Amino acid sequence: MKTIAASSRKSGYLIFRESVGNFVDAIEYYSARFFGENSNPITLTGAMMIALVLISVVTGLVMLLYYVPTPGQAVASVNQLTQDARYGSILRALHRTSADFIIIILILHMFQGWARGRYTGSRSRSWLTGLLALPLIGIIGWAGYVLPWDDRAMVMLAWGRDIAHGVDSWPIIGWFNLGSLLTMPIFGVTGEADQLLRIFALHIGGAFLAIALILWHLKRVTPPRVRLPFAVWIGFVLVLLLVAAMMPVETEALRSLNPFELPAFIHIDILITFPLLFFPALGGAWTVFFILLILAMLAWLPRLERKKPRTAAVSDIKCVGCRLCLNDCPYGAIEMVPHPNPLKRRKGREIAKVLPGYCAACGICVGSCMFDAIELPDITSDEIELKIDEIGGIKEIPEPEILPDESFL
Amino acid sequence: MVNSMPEYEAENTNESTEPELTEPEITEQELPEEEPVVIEAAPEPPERPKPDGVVGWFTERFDSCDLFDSQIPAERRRAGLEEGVSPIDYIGKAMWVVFVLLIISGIGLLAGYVPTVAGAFNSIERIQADFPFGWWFRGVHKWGTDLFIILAIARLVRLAYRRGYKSTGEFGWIWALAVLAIGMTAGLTGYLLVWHQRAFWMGSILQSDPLSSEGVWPLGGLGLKGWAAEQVTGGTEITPSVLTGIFVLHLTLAFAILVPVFCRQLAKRRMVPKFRHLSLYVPPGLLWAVLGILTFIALILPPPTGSPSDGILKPNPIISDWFFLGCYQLIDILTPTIAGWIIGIGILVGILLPWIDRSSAKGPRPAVTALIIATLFTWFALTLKAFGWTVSAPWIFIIIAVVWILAFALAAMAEYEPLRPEDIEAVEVVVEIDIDEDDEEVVAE
Amino acid sequence: MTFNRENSDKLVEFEHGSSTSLAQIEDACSIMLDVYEEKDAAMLEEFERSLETVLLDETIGQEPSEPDEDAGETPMDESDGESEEISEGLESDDDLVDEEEPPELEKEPEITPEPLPGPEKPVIGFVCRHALGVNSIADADGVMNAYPFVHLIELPCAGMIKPDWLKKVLEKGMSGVFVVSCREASCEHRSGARLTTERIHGKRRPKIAGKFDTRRFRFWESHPLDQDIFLKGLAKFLEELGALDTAEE
Repeated sequence: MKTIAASSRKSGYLIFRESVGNFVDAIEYYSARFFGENSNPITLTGAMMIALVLISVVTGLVMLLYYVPTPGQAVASVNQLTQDARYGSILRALHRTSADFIIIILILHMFQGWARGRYTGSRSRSWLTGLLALPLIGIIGWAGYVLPWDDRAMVMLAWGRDIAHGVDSWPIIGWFNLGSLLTMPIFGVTGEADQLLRIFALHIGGAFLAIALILWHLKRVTPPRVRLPFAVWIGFVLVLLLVAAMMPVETEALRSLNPFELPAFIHIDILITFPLLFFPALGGAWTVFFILLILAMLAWLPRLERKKPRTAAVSDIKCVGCRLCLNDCPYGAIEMVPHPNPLKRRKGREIAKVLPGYCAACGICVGSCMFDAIELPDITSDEIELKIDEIGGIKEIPEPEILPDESFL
Repeated sequence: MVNSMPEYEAENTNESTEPELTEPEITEQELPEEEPVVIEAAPEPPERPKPDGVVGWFTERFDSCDLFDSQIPAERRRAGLEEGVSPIDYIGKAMWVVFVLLIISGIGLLAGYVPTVAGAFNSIERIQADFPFGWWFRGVHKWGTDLFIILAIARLVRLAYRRGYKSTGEFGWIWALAVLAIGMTAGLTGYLLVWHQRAFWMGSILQSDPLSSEGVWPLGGLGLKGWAAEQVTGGTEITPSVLTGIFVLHLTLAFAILVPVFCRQLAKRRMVPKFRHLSLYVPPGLLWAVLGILTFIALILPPPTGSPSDGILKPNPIISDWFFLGCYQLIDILTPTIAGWIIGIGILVGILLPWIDRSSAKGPRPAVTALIIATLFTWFALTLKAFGWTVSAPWIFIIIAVVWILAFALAAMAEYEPLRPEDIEAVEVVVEIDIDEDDEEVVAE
Repeated sequence: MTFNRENSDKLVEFEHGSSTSLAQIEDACSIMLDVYEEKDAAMLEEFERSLETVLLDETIGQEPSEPDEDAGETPMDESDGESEEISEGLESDDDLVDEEEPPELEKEPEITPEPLPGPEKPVIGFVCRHALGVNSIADADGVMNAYPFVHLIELPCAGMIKPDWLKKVLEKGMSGVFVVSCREASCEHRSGARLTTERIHGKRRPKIAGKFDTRRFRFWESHPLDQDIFLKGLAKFLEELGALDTAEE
């Protein structure tokens, strides 16, 4: 059977990625056997993140009942929440733990998406919107740490300010003072009260932005798996609560206020603030530079694997515009256009059209068409039917020796 | 469909045993005009196994729930009513635009608003005066609220008039009601957040005994109101934490609209080819129109702030936001208990309307139209009375009652259909049979 | 005579009032001629049993007990009369006679009545590239290493399968057909496995139209890491096909 021609020469990167991809495939397979096909955490990473966002929003809203975003009352209100309110400390720990889990699962999600090459072609849009999510979550988390306005928040603020000024020292960008300019709404204000309010707006506005980003990310994903099965929900929440109970959040003064001396790890959540690991060696600005560099390289990846198999094509004559292919295409690569034949177009007839940028040549449209109107050029329905006939011709029926007419005489 | 293909003609079967590889030329008549594929702007899979039972009943209604009129223009265009796509069909999309603008301006306000009793009023004045584009954020937020509520009422009226709540549309109807309720509550809480004189005293009225008492809400509000007040506002008195609670409620209501939209988007397991097929897509013209109108109004009509509340001077009269004026008037004229019962029953009838209206005919129905007109008139008259523009107490109710009776009388006349000739013939046949069988019955006929 | 897909659903009325489809008649005729020639008691028994299995999933109005009754009384005479009537009825209808097929009836005695280890006619499998490591179990042309009569057709996704192909394979006279796709939760293209399942089960267009012998069809969801499960299932399927083929002779 003539299959889609394999590429003649694979780059080293591709060989490497595919081997990692096979490894991830194997992990997914064994994980499916352990957890069950529909409860496989590896395929549910996206759904878990959505659940975590919802948990963060709900816990955040409840905590807002106590929190007052003014410099004078912030710490007191947060302490009141943690100590006096009945479930206050659990809520706070849950909020922070869910943010941690979002980052862990986000990195796992990105890794398995990279390893299996799910960033090529039409999936590049999901990849890019996902890449935007990483710094966004980081910023939201950073802002969340500043909100209590305790000593740790001061340290975070100092780091942030340092990074912003550090960006000004970069070669080209620094000439326009872009660092200070971009962060002016936060670091350019003079009053503490204003600054806290701006960061508060950043935190909550960021949440809305994250929801919009998720919708944009999913727009280009094949029917997304966004619902966690009920059992997985329960297990997930239990794990969250367990970790939250083990790692409570405390408002406390830190021993050293030196911005470049890392405090004891247990008091800073290294997941949200993992750039801090590099601060002593590189300094704030250069750490951000390298992070942005890595993100840019990842964003460039889709262009690395641009070679795609030949996309599907629609036959003008046979297509009747029934939209079965459009409904079934997992990549949204089909749209309806007015019929090229003017007579039919006047009657409002449409035919399907394949959008080559989105087509992944999977062939599902071929299976959906009752009229053989859409085909993959590498494997057409005619070829397959010929192959069936050819195979069928192998059956050992000897050629007839006598003419059939004579047998009835 | 394949089974209904025409029989091959005799000549075809005398070929070799190799059948044709493709279907024969399809003539015009056989093209699937009657394809039962449901065609929408963002296409749905043609057939899903139809769910049954209780779960199926819910699933059907959730699936067809149209949150912000995403389907209507495309639907009407497909139904051939190309010229019937009027601006009225875009009310839902306009609501969505206004909602997004409310969120954006709200986040901007968040950057300057201090949710404490001491700092609220001053922070708002500062936003309007000092912030870059502060006037835009506050103005769009305030006038956007009013526009949102007007659009929500208009959408409700359109939905009721077209009777879109009929089978499988019930949840869409309840959602429209819920959006109106959420919008009004968010408007009220937002109004309170300004914490000026009027807001303070409005808040005190909400907390005050007559309203918190069990008599206001039917069935004693199931004891919920007092409990809710305590959870949100920390008690039945105005304390500093009241403002924080109202602030959180305001934000929660924003999410209460956003999260169902989010979940609905996630629940759609279908791909859309182009951006314009998205159900949340808004035509650019509509976007710029709404944005322009709100910006313009914000520019020329800066929202009034009044004076900060001091807890001492009680303004007279205490005026709430316009959309609650009618209710307030009702409470003022009648006792809170009776007013509560009237409002409660009104809400209940509204929610249950899809099941009260049992007629299976599609499209507008005179009785429902009468209900819409009568309700609107009542609400309008009461609101105007709050402004002091209509007649005083006993007369206003007489006028309202007259309008209700007139509306339903006209509706009854419109729904009355005279006997058609065929029906009369049937009656005659019966008479004949009676004549044949029993002579005595003739006299009775 | 040959009965193409197009006219195999046509009904033919018998004198005694029952009706059957031409596809069934073809099978019945081949068996009846055997019986006429052999007059073997064992063959008679098998003939009765085989007439039951001749009827496929959706019969057209004929109850299975009827041919048994007819066969039980005077199988020879009545079958004589019936076959004459059939040939009369059909010869008058020109479109049903094809000159090349009758010799197929001649070939039947060549096949020994002993059951063979597997189906003697080919089996075709439509396989998703991501569900099996096709290169390890088949050669470049798709012929399986373990079973030379099993041909695999490799597709980029199981969703590419048109249900018509499955029906076509069986109509071409092949012994069986199977489909291997990814598991639904880990389908590479996300929805191929689900769509194909729905199509085959008639819950999604395009459906399989007309009669489809589901005994000769299997659907597996597999993964390259557990394709031995598929191979075991395939072996069992091939055995069943062999039994079916023998029973139908």
